[in-house]
Amino acid sequence: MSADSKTFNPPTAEFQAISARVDGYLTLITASEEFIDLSSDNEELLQLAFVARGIFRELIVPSKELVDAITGAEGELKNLAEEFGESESKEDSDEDFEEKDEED
Amino acid sequence: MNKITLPTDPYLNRIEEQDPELYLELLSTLIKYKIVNKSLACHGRTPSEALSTILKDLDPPIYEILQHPNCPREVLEANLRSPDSFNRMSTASNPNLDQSQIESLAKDEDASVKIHLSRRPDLSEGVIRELFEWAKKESREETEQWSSIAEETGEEVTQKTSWFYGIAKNPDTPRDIIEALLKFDLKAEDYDGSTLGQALMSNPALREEDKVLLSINGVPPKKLESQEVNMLEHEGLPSSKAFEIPDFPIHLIQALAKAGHPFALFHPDLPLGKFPTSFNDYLDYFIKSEIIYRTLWPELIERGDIKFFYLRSSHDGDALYFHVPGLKFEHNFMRGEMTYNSMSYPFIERDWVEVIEEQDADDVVALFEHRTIDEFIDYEAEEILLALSISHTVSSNEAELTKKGREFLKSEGSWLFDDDVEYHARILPEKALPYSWTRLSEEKRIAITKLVIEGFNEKIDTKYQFAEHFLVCIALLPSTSDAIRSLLEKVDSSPVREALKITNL
Repeated sequence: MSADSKTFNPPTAEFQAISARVDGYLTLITASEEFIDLSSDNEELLQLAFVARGIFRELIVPSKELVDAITGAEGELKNLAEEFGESESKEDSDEDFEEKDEED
Repeated sequence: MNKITLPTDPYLNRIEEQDPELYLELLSTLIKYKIVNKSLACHGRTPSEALSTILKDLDPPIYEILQHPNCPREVLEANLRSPDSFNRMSTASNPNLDQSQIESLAKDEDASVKIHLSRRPDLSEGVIRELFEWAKKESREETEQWSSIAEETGEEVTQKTSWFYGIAKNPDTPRDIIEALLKFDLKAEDYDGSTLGQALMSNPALREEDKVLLSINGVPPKKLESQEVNMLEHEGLPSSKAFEIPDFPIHLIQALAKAGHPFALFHPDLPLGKFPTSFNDYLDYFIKSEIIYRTLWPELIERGDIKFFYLRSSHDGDALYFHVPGLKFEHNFMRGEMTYNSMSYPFIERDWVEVIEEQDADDVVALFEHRTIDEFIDYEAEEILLALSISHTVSSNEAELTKKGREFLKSEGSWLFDDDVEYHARILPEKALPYSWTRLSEEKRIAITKLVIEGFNEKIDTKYQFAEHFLVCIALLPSTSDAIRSLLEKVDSSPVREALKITNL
């Protein structure tokens, strides 16, 4: 598809909200220790998340197709963030437990 | 006993022989220019007073001065006990050390000092024996150390013998030491591929029977040529530097021209006179000093369709080159595969080229185009991953950069790529003066063209490629006359033909 067929419009308030949420998911994902290991399996999804961050920070103006792609991927990113977040908090609680054990 | 000798500048020598007064004037003028200091310190006939003057400089070439036969005695004496081992190492190579100074350096605790000392041709038997015993110990220890590494890596264990090379080459080495050396591993290669056998073979006092023994052991019978680097050649002759200095007095340049300096051919203010008869003999001088590039490149910008680039690469080496639409070819140069229009020594800073280091956001986008998130994940810098994602999205026309986005890419994207980056370069013809194709007489332009054509036709290893490049430049230059064009038309080279064709359009 050529550049001429794309339309670049400033993101709507609704899409700004989606980008903001995706930005939050990305923060959770990148904070995880598993981020480096799992990133190659989710490369395209993560790239979309970074692009959403770019939109949220007003670095780029997206095409309509890109808006659709990010909107469509929001749910999947939320799941990924929960998965990463869960494993993170599970590890935290495991560590707490171990530490407690040692104290005992 | 033999003496260490330093190479000399043949053009300075000629002037010194013919006109000693003018020689002193030339020397005292050259000393005023910092870029000549190191070359002068490498010229074996620079007098002691001149070296003392150079030493007063903020950052003098101390290693070269310490190795110089005319190094002031007090400087030499002081550096025998210098806390800097490199200074002591350089002192160990000075030809004027007396035996007590040599004996004191033979006891130096630094191995590099002893290695340099062992290469001297004027060692006494006592010092040779002392250095041999030391080398035996070092060789044993290094071999043992290497064996344990080789065991782990599965490599073949070889005896380390490079400590003996100096002694092995020395014609004064006593017979019993030569016999002992012949029992070592003669074929074990050092890091540079040299062997003890080769070092022994280059000893002029070696007996015929020893040579036969070495031959049986696979050492080539031919005497090995010196592998020592000629520092004067590496640095460039002081007389050549004079041609590189824009405001160098013309009467001294004229004297150098009279002494037969090949650069006179390129100087527009000198008559044709005698000029070098072989392009290939002088090619290294021409390209290293950049005189030929300063003559042929700057006025190419008058074409209007030429772009100059500078590629900085730690892996492939830097390259300064140009691109003209319709001309594209690659040649093998001595520094590996490089584009045809490259210069050979682009890492030298020069006044006549300005590298525009600032990158546009579009350039950064292009840099990221063929890279994946995976490649950058280890940087753990979210800004880079963000820049990478944005670059991909922008290059596939899925998004447009905002002004803020352009700034972001420039600041976050380009820091990763200070290596392997192609920058635009600007040529400043006024800084290349006095060298200029337009300023040269037609007589000289024809002489240069004929010389380069001859060099090209000789087809010597990779040298003809330089010749071909210069011929392309001459063909591309707008001020090249029809007479020269008809000379170029006879050259059997498709790039030259192409260059003529696109210039005639």
